[in-house]
Amino acid sequence: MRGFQDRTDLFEPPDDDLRALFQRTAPEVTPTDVEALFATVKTSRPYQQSVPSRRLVMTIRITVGTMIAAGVAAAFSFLVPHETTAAFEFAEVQREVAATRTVAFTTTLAFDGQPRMVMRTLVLAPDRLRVEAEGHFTVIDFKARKRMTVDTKHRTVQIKELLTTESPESNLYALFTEVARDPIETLLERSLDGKRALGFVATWHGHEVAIWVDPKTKLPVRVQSTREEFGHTWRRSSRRSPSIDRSTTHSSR
Amino acid sequence: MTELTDADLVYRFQKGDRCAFSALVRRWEGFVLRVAARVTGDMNEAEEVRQSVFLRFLESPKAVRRADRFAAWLRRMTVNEAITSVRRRIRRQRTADRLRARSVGIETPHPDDPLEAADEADRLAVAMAWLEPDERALLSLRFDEGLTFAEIAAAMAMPASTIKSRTTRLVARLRAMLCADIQADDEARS
Repeated sequence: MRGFQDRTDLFEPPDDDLRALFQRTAPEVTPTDVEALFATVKTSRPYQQSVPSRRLVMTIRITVGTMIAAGVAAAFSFLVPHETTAAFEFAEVQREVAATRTVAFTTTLAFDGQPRMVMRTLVLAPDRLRVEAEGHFTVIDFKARKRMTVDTKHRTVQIKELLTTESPESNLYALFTEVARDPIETLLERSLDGKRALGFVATWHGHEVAIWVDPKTKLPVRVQSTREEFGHTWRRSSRRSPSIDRSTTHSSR
Repeated sequence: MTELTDADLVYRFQKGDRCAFSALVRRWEGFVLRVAARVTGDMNEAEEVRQSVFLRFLESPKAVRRADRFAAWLRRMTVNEAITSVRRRIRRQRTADRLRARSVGIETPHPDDPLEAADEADRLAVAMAWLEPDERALLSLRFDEGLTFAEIAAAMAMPASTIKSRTTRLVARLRAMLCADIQADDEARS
């Protein structure tokens, strides 16, 4: 260390007393136990090991660890099937629908962009369908080829034979059994109501139908179709409902 | 060995020469202990700080990237280690105080008690106790070790101009506290 007087910024004369006070009151310096220091290092790690080498060891460890983690992740990605559109066929969706006893949908029918009607549909597999709209509900039995319409407002009931020209859109159940005959396109994954959905496009009875499927349950969550007639656009959007009032389904005769 | 500069010794130690390390310790142990003692206000704690500083150098000789800047590195290490030690102790004390019953007082010297400041060493220690650890470090580097403002600035990672203005303020505070103690001491005696 250099001498105190050699410094360029010497103490101001008034501070000399402080400097003297500090020096007078400086603690007595006891010798450092160097051997204890060496002993401490010996028990922990060799002091010859330099910082860069330890840094290198740590870097190698991190790199190897990252590579192993990446390898494991890659292996898992190969083993676990991806929940992408390509990961399962539309036929699986059809099988799931066929195996499901009840599926409820809420359908919004829009005419030229304006909502016209909201219907709630309950599919009772394998052959019954219940459609509920404002003021009435209809129960269709495909096996018996009959439809029953209950007008809740006027308290009337009509039972009719199913027509062969029955609008196919009213029968979502049929859609899933018949659509496989047409070519299927896949859509990019999107989020519906905050959940992932995988999309398929089918041509059904001459018009396109988009079917969005929950990749977990493989059941449709939304079915959308657009139809143009006489210069007007009919848009139908059906989304699966968690529940529907089934109390009136027992009234079908 | 004593003829060698710090840079020579650091270089030799980095090559594995234990004697060079011992020589550096002998050369700098006084500095480290004095500064640590001023900052911590406790000799035992200061010795622990000194042990810790040299141990860190012993474990990582290459931490001193430039051998010719060993002094600057050691000063900074000493100041940082001492301040960290004080803060650690304060945290421990706070925890202990919380656990302890409120009726139990803390038995540390207090500047308001002139009898505790029996001589000038105690008076200085008590006055220093009122300052923050980094302020104590600054005064110690200035008045114990006689470092320039530039050297203190390097050790404390602050601009030299800041160090200079802080030193002026601290000296004024320290003088005020020392004078107050002397007056209180005199009144107590009379």
